Amino acid sequence: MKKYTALLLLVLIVQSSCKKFLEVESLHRISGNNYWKSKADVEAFTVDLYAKFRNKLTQTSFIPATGDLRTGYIKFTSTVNANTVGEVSRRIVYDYIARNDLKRVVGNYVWNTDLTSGGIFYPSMKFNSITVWTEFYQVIQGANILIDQIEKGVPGLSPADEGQYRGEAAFIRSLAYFMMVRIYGDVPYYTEPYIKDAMGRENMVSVVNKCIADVEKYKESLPVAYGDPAFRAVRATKGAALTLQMHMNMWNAGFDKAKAAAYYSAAADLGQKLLDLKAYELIPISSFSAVMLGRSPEGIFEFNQSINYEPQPNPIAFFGEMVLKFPNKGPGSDNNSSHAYIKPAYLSKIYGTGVDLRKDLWFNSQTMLAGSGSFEFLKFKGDIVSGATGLYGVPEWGLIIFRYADALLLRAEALAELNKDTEALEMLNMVRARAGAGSASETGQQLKDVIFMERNRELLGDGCLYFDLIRTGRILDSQWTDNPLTQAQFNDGGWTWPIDNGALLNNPLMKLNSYWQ
Amino acid sequence: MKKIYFLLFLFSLLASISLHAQENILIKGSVLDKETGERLVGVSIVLDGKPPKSLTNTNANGDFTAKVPVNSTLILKYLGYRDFRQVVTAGQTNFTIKLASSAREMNEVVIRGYVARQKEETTGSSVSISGKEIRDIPAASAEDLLQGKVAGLNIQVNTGAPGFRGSVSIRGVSTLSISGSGENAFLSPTSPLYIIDGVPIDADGSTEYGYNSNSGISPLSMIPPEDIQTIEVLKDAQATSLYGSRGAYGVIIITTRKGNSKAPRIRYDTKFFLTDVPKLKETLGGQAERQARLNQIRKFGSEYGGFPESVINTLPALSDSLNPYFNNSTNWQGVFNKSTFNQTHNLGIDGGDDTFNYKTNLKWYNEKGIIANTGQDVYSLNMNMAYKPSKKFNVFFNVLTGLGKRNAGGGNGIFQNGVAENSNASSLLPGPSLFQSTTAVQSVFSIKNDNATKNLRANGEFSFMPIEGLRFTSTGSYEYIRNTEDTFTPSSASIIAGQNWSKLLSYFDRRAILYNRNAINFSKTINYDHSFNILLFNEISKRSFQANYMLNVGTANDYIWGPLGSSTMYSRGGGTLDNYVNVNTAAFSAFFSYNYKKKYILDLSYRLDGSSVSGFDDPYSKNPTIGLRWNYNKEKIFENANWLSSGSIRATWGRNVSPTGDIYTLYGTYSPSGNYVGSPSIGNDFGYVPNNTLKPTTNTTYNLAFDFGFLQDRFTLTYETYLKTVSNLLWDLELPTTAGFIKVKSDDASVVNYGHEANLNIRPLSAKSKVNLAFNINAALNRDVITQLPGGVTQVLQGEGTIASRVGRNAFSNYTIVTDGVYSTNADVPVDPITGLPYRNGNSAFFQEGDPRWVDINGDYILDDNDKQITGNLQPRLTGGLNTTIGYKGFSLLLTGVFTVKRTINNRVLADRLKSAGDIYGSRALLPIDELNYWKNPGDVAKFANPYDYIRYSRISPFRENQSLFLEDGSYFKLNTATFGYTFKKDFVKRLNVNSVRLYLSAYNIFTASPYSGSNPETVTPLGYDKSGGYPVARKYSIGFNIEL
Repeated sequence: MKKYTALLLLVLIVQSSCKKFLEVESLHRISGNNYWKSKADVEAFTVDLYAKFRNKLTQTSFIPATGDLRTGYIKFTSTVNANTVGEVSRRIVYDYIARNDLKRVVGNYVWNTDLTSGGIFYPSMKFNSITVWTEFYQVIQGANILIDQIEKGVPGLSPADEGQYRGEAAFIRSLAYFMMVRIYGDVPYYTEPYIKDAMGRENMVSVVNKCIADVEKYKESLPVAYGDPAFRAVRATKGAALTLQMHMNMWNAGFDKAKAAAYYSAAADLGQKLLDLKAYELIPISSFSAVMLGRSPEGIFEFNQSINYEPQPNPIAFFGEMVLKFPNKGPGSDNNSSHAYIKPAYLSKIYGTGVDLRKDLWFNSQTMLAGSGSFEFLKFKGDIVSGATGLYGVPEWGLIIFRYADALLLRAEALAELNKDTEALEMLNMVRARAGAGSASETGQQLKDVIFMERNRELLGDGCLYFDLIRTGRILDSQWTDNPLTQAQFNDGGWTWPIDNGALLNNPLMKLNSYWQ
Repeated sequence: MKKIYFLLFLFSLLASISLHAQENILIKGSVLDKETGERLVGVSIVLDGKPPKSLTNTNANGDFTAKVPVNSTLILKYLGYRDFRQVVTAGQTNFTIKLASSAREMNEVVIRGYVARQKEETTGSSVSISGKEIRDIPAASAEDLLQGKVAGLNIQVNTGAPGFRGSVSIRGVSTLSISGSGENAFLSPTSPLYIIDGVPIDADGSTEYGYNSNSGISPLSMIPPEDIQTIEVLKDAQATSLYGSRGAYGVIIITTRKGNSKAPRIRYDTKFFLTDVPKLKETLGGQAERQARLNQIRKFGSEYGGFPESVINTLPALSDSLNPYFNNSTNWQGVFNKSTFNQTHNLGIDGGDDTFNYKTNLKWYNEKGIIANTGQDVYSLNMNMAYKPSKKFNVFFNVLTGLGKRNAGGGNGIFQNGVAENSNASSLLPGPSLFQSTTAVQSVFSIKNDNATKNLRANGEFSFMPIEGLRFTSTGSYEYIRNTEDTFTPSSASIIAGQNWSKLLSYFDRRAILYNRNAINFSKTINYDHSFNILLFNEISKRSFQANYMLNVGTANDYIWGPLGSSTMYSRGGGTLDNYVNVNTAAFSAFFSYNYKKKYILDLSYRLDGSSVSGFDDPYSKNPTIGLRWNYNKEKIFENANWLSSGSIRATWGRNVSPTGDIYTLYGTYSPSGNYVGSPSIGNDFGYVPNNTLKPTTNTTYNLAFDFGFLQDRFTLTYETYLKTVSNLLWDLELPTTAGFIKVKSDDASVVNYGHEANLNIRPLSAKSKVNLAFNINAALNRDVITQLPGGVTQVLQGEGTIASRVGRNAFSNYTIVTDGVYSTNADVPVDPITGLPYRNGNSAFFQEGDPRWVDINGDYILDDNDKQITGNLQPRLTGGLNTTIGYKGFSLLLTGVFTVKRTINNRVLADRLKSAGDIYGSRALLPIDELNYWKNPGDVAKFANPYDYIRYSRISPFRENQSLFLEDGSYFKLNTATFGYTFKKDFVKRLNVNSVRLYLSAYNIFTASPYSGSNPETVTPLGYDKSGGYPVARKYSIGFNIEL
């Protein structure tokens, strides 16, 4: 009997040591089971979500194309820039976007030789990447995985850390959904990790409501500010979460009109909370270029790609690249005129003749209304990054998503919609005061229009004006846009972008946007 | 008186014998191989009785002496031979006994699952081959020689490239995974596991298969066929169960010779062989080619393709016949293909007895390929030693060192596309010379390619038997394989970035396997009736692999290869490749066997297989099996049935589980992606979504077998039928874009194989006959059916849409447009009644007379991809072999044939041939196609469109490869080997002071009979594509000489 006991013991020892024997750490790849072992892992994974999101937005002129070019106020310059490869860099594509001719924009062009206007644009501008949502869903999957892993428990995370990372994940995925809603309309929505099933599109109002709730659930544990000043505005904060919720409420107010009042009041309340944080300020207009550089006290949420840490970002991702020229861009042969200008009529209309430091500081009074390549939008003027030369000799910009002025005006709009004109004016005048413009005192519908105009003045080039047109319904009125849609076009989704056909693959539940079919 | 005394004496002697029947007499004898007359050393002489008693063994000369009782029966036992029973009578004291080989019989001892058992006690499906059957044919690898020997072991020698393996599979298709595309598509190899002298060997190492890489020689080619004692092929899950996951595709056990001679013995075997180029394509040469082309252009040229004379003027090879550069008649195939003369030598030294024995085997094998600049050299040294100081201890050591060198020339893997392309060149071009030859031709000859494999394997085994029946065994081995490839492409043969720059590729990898197995075996027989055998063992292995390469260009000249250093000026990349492996495995196995009077046998086994890549939560897969056997011939009712010498029914069930997923599949991969705002960032790799519910591939096999042996096993028949379900096959499923992840590894596909195997041995003459005659016929019929495909779909296309797999059908079919002859006249072309337009090819041209009649499956009057249909079966349905042995005195004749029935071949060679006729602008040779039935004039009923009409050629491509026109039946019968040997008489040999001398002649790949119109239905890819770039299998004639000192 002893013999057998000894034998059994031997087998047990062998068994238990075998378990260890079978654990071989791979030297060439990190597998999921070797990840999530420390706070550093969570941190690295979280910042990767921001990086992936940022990379999606910098594949092409994502933010200018979706947020500004479609308003119709921006035109390509026909001034000839002889660039290094001898081609004419007339970016006629901007006009296609301004005319809502998106099928042409995202089409599979090799060289666009539109003889009527003699324009050529580069396929490298990759506008078709806007129609592909895969990367957004990668960010969403990543955020879902992050929340899932934190809930499973990661060694070395304090409860505060857990709250922060969960909050960041929820913010990132909701922002991704919101950005998709603003360009695709209805989108599939999920928050579970490792989703691989086919999924149909969900009504966007419902998606946005779910996102509002999602952010609401996690936002309290987000920090107001990070200890590390490098993270200012480039990592999700409570303020960023509040602003996102405001935006989402304002969006739904435009589409879910029956409940508009509730959305407006939610947005106004969220705005109040944002003010209460006392974390943001409007910095003096004279140092405004700091705002566009990013990580300023005015920034609420933005993506960053500083040449100090990483390779230079794709310059065409930024609005500033279109509207600056030498010497505000490097001395490349492509830079002797701006690629685009803002229509003089529109500029005259929004800035008028009154006092406004923005008009003085953001434009060269000689060329502001030139309507040609000599135009420059000095809002984006900054210091050219040393080391970046030639075509890429552009200043460094942040990818500004939300800033304080935007939030204030959004709150003003919500309050005005709730007929709280006094409070609305208070918000509006904060922004106007910074620009040295006189206080406004309109009421009722006029106030709403003034606030809208103020958004145009303040946020021009920030990548949100087209969305303002859509959510306020002003897109239907040529008074507010040079690219108006009819009600029928609007209802059919004319305001959306086409979705890449790839979305239909392996997904029988998918339907594309009918307007673009 | 004296006579009377003598008679009296004799009488009394006889009387005494009859009275004392148990009295011992001294007998002498010698034991020979019946077929070859070879003297057999170490044959056990056993005295029959209860229990049988071992007497002695034959000595180094095959002689024995023993004292035995008169009228007793001796049993002579020798591995690989039939037991021979000799009754000892008083009158005969000197015997010459000839043992007949018994490769396929019941009382043979087989080592299976690392335990030696009598075959009649095993339940699983297995076949043994004696080393003798394969040793006379010069072959780089013994594997090729197993072709046609074992029912269900399908070996297709689909390349003649020296040192490359053919395809080997046991019992049908076990995978649905295809790599590559079109004619380069190949099936993921599912080779059996090889156990060489007790140690598992990987035959499917990534580089050894040779499709993608030049380097590496199959480890099997390091085992000289002359040194092989036995080969055992295990087929069903019960037999392979103890080998675990790696045995899922069957197991082949190779045992090399052991020392067995009191006096040291030297065996020398040499073969000189000629490899002969098989029949080549016919081509037109010189003026004949030029005239044929000119006539063609004049006849078919039209204003659309340019007027004939102006076309001719653009083709200098045709118009400028006086230019010496074009005034040639080069036989390009002859330039590249040559017969070669080769040799192989094998020297074996062995000695010792049961207590201590040793063996050394030295081999040199040299084969120059029939295609220029290819060939193989193998050097190996194999040594083993066994020491048995007492009955309780046993020590065994084995060392194998091998060096294999292979030259693939300008080819890549098994394909010689360069040669194929160049040998299709127009005969008008000048032959190869320093000044007059193209880069492509130069590359075939002047590329210096050296692939070497260095293999070192050492294994040892200790066993200890403290009490009778209980044995502890520990086995360990270490194997190190290093593959290198050095390819130098001289500047004359390589153009890089528009420059004639030489190129130097250097590749090296290393593979190391450490293996250990510890076993406890207990066997006990109670009351002679109840026998138990229990085996417990554990097994661990560590495997690692790493490959590196570098590529430099622009060496100083074509004579100095380097070194160049790592300057970016010269380097074209390199580094460590990502096929890095570092895997540990562990397994625990239990085996229990019970038999009652060897009549009823029950086998149970269970194995837990763990691997470091299969996930940490539960790394073990479970492989259970059960086997039953009933030896009904031992039942009472057959007691007196002398005609029935053996008979049994076997039934087994087994499951073999191989984890397909790895930790990356289960948990996903994370990869660093730079940084964000100064912090390092690591995120998901979105290639594959982690799938933690992935199930391992499960092979479940049911096997039912009947064994019959009649008239002292003169006729033995084994019939087996099986059902093998391969489920949860790994499959890459694409995901919707909303998933973010691109693909998922799913486990939805499954294939069922079922079939019948029969193996019939006939020895019509009695064991005592002077003539030894043996026939073997074996055949296996296999059907494979797809029962499920991933994502619930009913059909998937692979290989760029040329290969279809559909649920309910065989695993791989062609997916082609269907050709139904040729439009005889314009009136035959269908016209769309709605539009009034004729049937057309895509949007390029309307069909007309002389065009192929492609079936418009969907009826839209447009021929496109929607008109493709499933056709054919890319896997053989029936395979098998015929083996005949005839022996008389010292003469022996051995013939083997193999056959494959019902398999679809895609004859791309024919397509190329027809295309060459229409391609007037290329510089391809014009192949004669007169014997083909092609359309010439309106009204002709033809099989092929007019290949000479080069205008139609470019508009409708009538000879596109992917059409049913080029699908053919690839059934074949091949007379594979023939060996005629003569063993010199003993007396004659004695005078020379040697033990035996044998001379033999053999031939390999003698002829192939087939309805297939191409050159060889066997040298096609595993998916049935006959490519021009294939390497033909040489015919080999050899003369061999075998001497034993």
